[in-house]
Amino acid sequence: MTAPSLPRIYGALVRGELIATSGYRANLIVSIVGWVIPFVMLALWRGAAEDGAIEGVTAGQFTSYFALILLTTTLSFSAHLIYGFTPLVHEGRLADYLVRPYHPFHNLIAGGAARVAFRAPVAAVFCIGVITILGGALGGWRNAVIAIPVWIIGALTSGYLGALAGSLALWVTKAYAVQSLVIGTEGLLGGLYAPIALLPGWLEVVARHTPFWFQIGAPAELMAGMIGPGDGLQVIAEGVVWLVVLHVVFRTVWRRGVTQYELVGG
Amino acid sequence: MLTLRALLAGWRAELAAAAEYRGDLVVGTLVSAVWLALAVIPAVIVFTHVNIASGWTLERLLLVQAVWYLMDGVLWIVMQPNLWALGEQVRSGDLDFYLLQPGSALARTTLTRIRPGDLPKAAFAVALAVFAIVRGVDVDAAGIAFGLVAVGCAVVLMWAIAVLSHLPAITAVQFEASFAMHAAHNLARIPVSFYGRLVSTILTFVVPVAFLSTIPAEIFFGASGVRELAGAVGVAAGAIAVTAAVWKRQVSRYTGATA
Repeated sequence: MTAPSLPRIYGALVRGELIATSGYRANLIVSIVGWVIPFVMLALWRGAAEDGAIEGVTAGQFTSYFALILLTTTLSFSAHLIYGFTPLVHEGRLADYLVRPYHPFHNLIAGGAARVAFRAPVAAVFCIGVITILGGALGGWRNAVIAIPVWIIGALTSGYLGALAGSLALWVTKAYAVQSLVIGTEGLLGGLYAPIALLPGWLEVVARHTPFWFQIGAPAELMAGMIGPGDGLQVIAEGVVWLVVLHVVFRTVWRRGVTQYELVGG
Repeated sequence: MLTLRALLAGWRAELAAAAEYRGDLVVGTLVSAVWLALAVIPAVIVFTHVNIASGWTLERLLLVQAVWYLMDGVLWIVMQPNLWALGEQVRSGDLDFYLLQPGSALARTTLTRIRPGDLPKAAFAVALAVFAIVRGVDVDAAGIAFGLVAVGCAVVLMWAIAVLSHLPAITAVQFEASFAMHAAHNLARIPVSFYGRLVSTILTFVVPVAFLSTIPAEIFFGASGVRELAGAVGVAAGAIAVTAAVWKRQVSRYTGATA
């Protein structure tokens, strides 16, 4: 008997997770109301830009940018990977997953996808509503087309980073402290608090070349017309390089980390 | 008085237990410092590009953020450890244990535990407030006295919002509305005037987010006065009354899991 292919595994896992998650769909959908940080930043930056554009970014672009940040951060599930994997290690449940014919992270990715499936439509409605009501400015259709592969590559790199941060639990008992810093860094370098072009010089350079930005800020900047299609293509090229590097790093970390794992419990 | 004595004894025990793990305090201090930095970075970045935003200076905005960070400390030090456990207490029947004890069951259920590792958050909030004042916020003795009362009211309001958002867990399995707590808390990151007139009015008179950070900070430097302080006291008193009423209603529907 041969092992099932990855698409078949994913099909089954996502179906199962969708059914399980649908039991809490009301709570999940309503919970998006709690994710207000993009709106807070929108208010802050629009307030700052009321006397004119800041470094060329208009109030309309800030509106679109942070409305799209609401969407890109909702679609992100690196935190789900981090906080989903850590208890598996600390409570000893990882053992169950290690004997299955697929990587333990596939389960978590399927779970994250199921959550996103319920939350994303609500976030999209909020996003469109804010852009329409507050008069957001958008880039052209070319920007929108390029934003999609940028986001996909960003999601993959962000997923690897989440898996790496989650894997810390294989070595460290109190991994949450370090992991929360990864989440915080993701917010800052990803562009959650400000478009990275407005960060101080060196921080902008660092942020522009990190995978955090590829998933959160880069697609939003493209859609809002703050960067052009050419910049988007450069992000795609860099993202592919990061993807390869992170894949190799994760394989190494996982191989070593899983040997550290000691079953906890009975 | 009995409840207060019991709570203080519990907190002393938690602190004594935490003293066994000093490394956690070091980690907690570092993490709190980083999160404070992440909290103020947006405002600092904004003010590298402008001098005034929606009528606010950087120093006054930092004072608002100091009060906000103190509320963050309240959430992490007191509210999260107690309220995260509420759903499990309902499912396991441990809530019966609190309900049968003498004194206020509401206070015991929501305030018994503390997380000492997050205590540095409170210290950092005070340090940020002092820094903002020294850097350029004019305050006088009356402003400080009234401001401290308003901050006390904000702590009560934060407790009430946190408790109200978790009380559905008593009657609805696996349901909690902590998103409402996080929303209220995060909306208080910046002065409500940034949200425009309509939203600002809603966040002051309908959902009193303004009383969590904006109004206490304004009272410190005199932009709000005795009238707003009276409002803060009234909101805090109202929040306690509403929380107590909702708690009573929820507990009357609680069936217990150990029966």
